[in-house]
Amino acid sequence: MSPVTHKITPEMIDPTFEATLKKRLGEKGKKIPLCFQCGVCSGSCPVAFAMDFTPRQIMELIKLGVKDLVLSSSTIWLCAACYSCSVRCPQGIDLKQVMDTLKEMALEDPKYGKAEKAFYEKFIEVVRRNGRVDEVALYVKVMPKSAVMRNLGFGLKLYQKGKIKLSPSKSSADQVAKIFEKVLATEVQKQ
Amino acid sequence: MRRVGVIYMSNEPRIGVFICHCGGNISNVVDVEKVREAASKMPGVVIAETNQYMCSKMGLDLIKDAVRKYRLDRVVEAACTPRMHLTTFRRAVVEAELNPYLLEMVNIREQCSWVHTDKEAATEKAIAIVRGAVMRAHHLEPLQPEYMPVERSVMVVGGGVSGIFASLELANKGYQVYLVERKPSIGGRMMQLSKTFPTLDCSTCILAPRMVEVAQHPNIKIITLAEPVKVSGSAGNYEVTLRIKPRYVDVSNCTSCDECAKKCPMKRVPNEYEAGLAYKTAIYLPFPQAIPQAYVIDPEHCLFFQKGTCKLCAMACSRGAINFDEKERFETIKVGAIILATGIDIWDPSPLKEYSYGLHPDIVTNLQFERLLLSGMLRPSDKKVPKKVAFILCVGSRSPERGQPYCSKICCMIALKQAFLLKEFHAESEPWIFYTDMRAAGKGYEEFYTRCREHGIKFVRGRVAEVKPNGGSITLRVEDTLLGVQIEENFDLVVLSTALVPSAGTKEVGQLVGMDTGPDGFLLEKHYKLEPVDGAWTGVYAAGCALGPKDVRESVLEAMSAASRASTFLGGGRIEVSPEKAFVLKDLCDGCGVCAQLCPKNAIVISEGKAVVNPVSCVGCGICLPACPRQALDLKHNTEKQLLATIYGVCQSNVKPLIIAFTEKVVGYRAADMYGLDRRKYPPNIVIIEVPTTRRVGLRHVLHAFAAGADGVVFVEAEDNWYGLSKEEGLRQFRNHVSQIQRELRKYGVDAARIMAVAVTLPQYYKLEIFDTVVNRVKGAKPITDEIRARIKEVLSA
Repeated sequence: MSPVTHKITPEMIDPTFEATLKKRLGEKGKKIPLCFQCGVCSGSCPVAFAMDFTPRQIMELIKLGVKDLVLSSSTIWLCAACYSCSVRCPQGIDLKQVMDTLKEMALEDPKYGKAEKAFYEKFIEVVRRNGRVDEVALYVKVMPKSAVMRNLGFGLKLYQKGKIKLSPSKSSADQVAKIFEKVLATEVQKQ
Repeated sequence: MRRVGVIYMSNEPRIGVFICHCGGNISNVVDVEKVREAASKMPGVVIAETNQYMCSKMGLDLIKDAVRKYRLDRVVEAACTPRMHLTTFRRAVVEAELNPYLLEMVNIREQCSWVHTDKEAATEKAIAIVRGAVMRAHHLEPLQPEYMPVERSVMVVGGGVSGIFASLELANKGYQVYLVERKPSIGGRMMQLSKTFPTLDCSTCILAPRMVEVAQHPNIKIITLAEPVKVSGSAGNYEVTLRIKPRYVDVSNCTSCDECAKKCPMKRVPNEYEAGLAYKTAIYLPFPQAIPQAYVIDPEHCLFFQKGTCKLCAMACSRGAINFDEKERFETIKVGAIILATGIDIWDPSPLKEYSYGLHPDIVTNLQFERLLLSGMLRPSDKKVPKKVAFILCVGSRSPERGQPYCSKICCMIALKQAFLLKEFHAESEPWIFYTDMRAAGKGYEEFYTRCREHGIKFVRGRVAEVKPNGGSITLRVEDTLLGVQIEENFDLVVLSTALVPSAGTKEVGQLVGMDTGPDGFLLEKHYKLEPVDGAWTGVYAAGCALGPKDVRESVLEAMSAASRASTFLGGGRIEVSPEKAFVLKDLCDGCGVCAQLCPKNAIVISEGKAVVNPVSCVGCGICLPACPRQALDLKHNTEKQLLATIYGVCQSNVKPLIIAFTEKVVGYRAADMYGLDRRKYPPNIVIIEVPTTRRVGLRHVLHAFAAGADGVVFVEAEDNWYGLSKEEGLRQFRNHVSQIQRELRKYGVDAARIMAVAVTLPQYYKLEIFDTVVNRVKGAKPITDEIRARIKEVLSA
């Protein structure tokens, strides 16, 4: 059933939220007010089942200006960037881009996405070092010590079956490093 | 008979200026009192008055009383666009015994108060354009309209329900009707439908008797397999060329015995009437109730036309009705009026890949479902009775990025009806309707919607995301937007309620008769609310789905409206022809013939060494005027004196820089009005002067404008209104004309950036955004020094 159990009260509404989002999205942002809640986005979404708000509900919350619920939702982090919603939206709203921008906004505000931010940073750190994801290293970095200890046995089973490696291959790590350099350079340029 | 009254003519004109508040529409921006004060001091003005609503009885009485009391011989009316109330005010001055052409209107609403925000500048501009009109009024002359007899016949294009009802209505009033249909039978879309909502009348049962009535009516001539390809002449006297495709069967001899079709070896020709769900033979009767009741050969599938041998049908025909030698032919008909009732097509949903249309036989359009309902309600794949049926709404409708931007209006009701009929057919069936918004506004529609819910039809609010063939059934994925949860369900049959689009060729047939199509592709009515079935040309009307998607009832209403409009127009037996025509100043003309060569209507001939204008052919475009090397041509109601007076009048404006927009009167001027109607804004530096075509304005007029103090000129021309010239040729000549003026002006040291041009169509009226650019360019252009202006004046006086 509907996960909408919140009551929206006047103090939850940030009247500038939609405008800020629109501005950040530039040309694409102009389409946001066109949403007429048809639900083709949520119907298409492969991960909607796991979200606390469906993409359509996020659009409605944006319209209402409920910034807090939007930026603390799981939706923006679960978006798999499959683009089904963007392609099928009859009004041409690029929902994937909306989700990306919302993610950026959440990351900029220390109030939101603490865990996600930590995960993103650690994920990037691992990839940057090895040129690819190292599940063991990432798990150890992200999860609390107690959880790591509790799951040692399961990890051992995975290792025995060859599902995870303790020292993954580092081939092409130098090329990935170059990509990182280039992206960082453009980021600096942008700023 | 209209009274064209006595004229008071004195040496010094006595002008009355009447300024309208328009209940705030004008006076909220323009200081009407200030305009009145300024006007009362203008030369020749005897009286200047204001009123809340000049078009009201009180306002009109004010004008009439003033004309009598002050013995006015000219009236200047500053109000809304003349397209709105010119007739009203002309009637008023005629009632006051003044010739209607002695009235001059100033548009201070659409082209002033609605497009400007700076109140002071708008007031200054209003004063300037009133002055232009007052100066012009000094030179106005009384004119008498001429009359032309009209043809008492009408061409109706399209033999669907709209065309049928328009034809019957007119024929019963005694007009000769030519009902032109592209297909081999009249009947149209309605003949393909099962039942009509909300009454559930059998569609064919109610239409077929009317078709028979059409066929038997002595005043109606049905011309099938025909399309208009050329329209010439003018309102009341149109000459239409029809292209008629061969039927290869003699209608009068064919008895519809079906022997020919039985022998035809081509049994698998796609059947358009069955929406592609069944086959026909290459020689066929379109459908059982077809009118004319005769067979027809489809040459694209006929073995004889494809391979050169067969003719089995001809051998089977005992009456020798089949003629393979028939050729395409052209026929010309003379009609007084034209009604377009060209109908709709179904939008092909294939581009929406997620709906898998065409990948599974049980995913059908709503038109195909109509045919299924009429053929036993068995699904196409295995001819079994479907139990769970999904109706998907808004397939391509309300989707600016993925189909059509508009709501197709009738699909909700179609889906309700189809689900209802399905439930009636098989009580155990399970229809689901997936909708975005349920639109059931209409007499008895909401009640029908309620009945459907009572009948156990399931409604889910949400636009379907995916339709995927899944073995024997079809899986559908959607968000129930009222619950906020995803639903996945399997169905036996899926019906796509696709968008409705104008029938192929709507734009082309519209162009033949001067009817534009809107951004949605449907024909544009003259006035959305008040002239909903009129075309831009007099004597041209439209009805039914050619104007936009609608149901049978509304189509019939429009058909009757169009018929009524046509009979009102033709009923008088004659039509008033505007006296605004070119004329020759015999003393100056040396018969060089430049004008005769240039005239797009061939209205000028050289006779006995002088040019002679044929007033019937002349459309008053004024193209000939600037071309005459001896200024021997002039145009009634837009004479050289009148035009120059307007230019000098408006140029005394205090809003600088001042840019004159010479605007073509049919499309350009209306586009500017629409810009105002939309409350879009442009700077008050722009002053619009209406001209028959921009090519009536020559170098001399532009020089006069600069001499008088103008800082720039922009030409606003219709993109496609060239009085017989093709669009390309018209635009080419327009561009040449403007660049020639630019070249000449450079000789005087006037920056070419001060002259700009734009061609607009009505749907693209927003192109007048260029006004902002024009003002910026003029501000940035090389300045016009006093010496330059002095030099221009010197040349002009020489």
